[in-house]
Amino acid sequence: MAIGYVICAVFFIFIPVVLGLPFSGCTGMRPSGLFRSFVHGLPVLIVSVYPPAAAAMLMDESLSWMTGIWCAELAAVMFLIILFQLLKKDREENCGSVYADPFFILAVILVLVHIYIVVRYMYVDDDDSIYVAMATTALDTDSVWRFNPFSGLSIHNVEIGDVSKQMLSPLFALYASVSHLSGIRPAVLCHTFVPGVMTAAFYGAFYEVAHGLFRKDRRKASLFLIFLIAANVYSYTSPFTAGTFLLIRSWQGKAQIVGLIIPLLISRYLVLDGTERGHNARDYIYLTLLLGASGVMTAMGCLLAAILAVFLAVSVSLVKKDAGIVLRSAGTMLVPAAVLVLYVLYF
Amino acid sequence: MYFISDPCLFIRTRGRTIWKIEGDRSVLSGFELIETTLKEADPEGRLLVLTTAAILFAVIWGKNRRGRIIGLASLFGACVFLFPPAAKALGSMMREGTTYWRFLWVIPSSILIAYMASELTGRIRSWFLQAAAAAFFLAVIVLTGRNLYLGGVFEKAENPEKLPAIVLTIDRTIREKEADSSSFYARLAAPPEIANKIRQYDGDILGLSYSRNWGTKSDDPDSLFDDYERIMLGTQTDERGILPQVARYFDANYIALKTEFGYRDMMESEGYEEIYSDSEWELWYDPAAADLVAADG
Repeated sequence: MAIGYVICAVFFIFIPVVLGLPFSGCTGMRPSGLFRSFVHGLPVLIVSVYPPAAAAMLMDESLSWMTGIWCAELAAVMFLIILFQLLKKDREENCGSVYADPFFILAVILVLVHIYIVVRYMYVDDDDSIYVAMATTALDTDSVWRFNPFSGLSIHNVEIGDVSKQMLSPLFALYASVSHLSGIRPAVLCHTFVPGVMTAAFYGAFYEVAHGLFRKDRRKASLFLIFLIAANVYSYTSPFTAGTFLLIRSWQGKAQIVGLIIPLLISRYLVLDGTERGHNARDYIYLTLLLGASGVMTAMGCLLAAILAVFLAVSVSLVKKDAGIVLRSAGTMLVPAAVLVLYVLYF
Repeated sequence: MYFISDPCLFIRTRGRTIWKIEGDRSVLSGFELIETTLKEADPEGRLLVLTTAAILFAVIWGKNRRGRIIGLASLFGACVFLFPPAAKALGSMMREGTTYWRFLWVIPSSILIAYMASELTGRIRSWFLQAAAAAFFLAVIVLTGRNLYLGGVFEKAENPEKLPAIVLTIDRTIREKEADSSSFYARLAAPPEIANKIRQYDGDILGLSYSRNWGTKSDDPDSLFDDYERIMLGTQTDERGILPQVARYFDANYIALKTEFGYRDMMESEGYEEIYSDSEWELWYDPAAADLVAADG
């Protein structure tokens, strides 16, 4: 069991740290820099499951096959990242160390309290029939797209409605693969392990927004986090608000869109504003990966994230008076465009 | 979580309906869809007012250039959300408008509110006054919103899987029963509280549901399936006598029922064997269905 959790930690914490290195803008090995790499790397880990999952679904291959391909892909990507990091000469910025602002410490305590709640307490949700039951079905049948998660019968035997859309967003395949390797059941992985990791990542992503907004003013950034935590906790005017989703269903794709993708999209477009440093191809590559990761999470969420990205690109262009940002951003819409075409044609 | 029971959408957790969307959204005009969605997202409207103020602050009064970028993007999002033809078109892609509230995620209200409050508070130089201003803005957030922790959303976890204990009990009971047979075959007919959970725990137990859309007209060619779902939801009690017939038709050899349904006499007369019961749940085993499945291989 303990080894299983270590393997889960490798996949959801250590690998994202490496995958996020090229995109976090941090150098050095300080904890704050590594944490920012983890936050930036988590969407990259999620999008990395798309190619092997799509291949396994289209070729009717097993989960074991998919997991093998995925691990090989991750190993190759991490090797290249480490190689380029070692060879890199242009040190961009140092992310600095954790600072002892009382408001920042209060914000961290509030986040830790929420992590404790999501790990120790439960929220039962029938949407999990899609997210967790699909992972369990994939794991127990060693298949990726062969059985209906609700009935366990062959997926081709019945008109499956809801389930067919999940082919576009195979987040379940990521959970199934990590379960396959770790021996931790998908229900435990999704309901206990992932919420703790994701909640930390969500607030890390929000801190990226604060960092973008108040770069030189750490007091304001700390206050921002405190107000944001309060606004999320007090957003339960209905079960549909973004704040409610990200606090109670962090293992589900919809929550990851509002908690991870949207803040990271916003923070990256703030970088594109380019008052501190000029933007480069890496920013657009990262935007493409972010929107790709949103596709893995949920098809409709992917389209919404793309709509927000368009609004952000237009806003940056207006403020910066540079229409080129909109044109360059258009190239990042690869996955949302494909999802939109498939959605309109088939669903 | 979503149960589209035309023309309603239920938000249910552990069998309790915590939210219900009324009406057939496909017949609503774009304007009606916007109005209905806003009322559902924030019935009292205070959070919407605060968000609107935060957008205006970011776009007009905020001195932070990057805050203006977020404000402008949110303003574009609000314009599209509030434009009736766009609402109609986008809503039709979101379960015929029943999930149009998702579009509100494009307007990051928490970020906007936090930006406005931190920008205004941060301008104050005195530490004491800054803390007082922070307390004021926190009070505004508290008074405009509703606390998630006090909403009864979270419950103490009963197991690391964080599934209701009855799900694990039923799974264990079925596994013990099947340990006696030469080949494992278990197809469980159960209300959604069990049916939507048991396959999160055990992928070997087959279910008798093809989607989340419990209680609506299914795509299954046999109308028996629709009756079955309504019986399991407890919304169709006059036809309950067909339950064993439906279960056998679909080769379900286990049936979980709520004790309050009061089906005990019927199940016993149909030859079912009770293998588990408590104050809330009963689990029945059908030797006849098992024999048929064994004969069919």
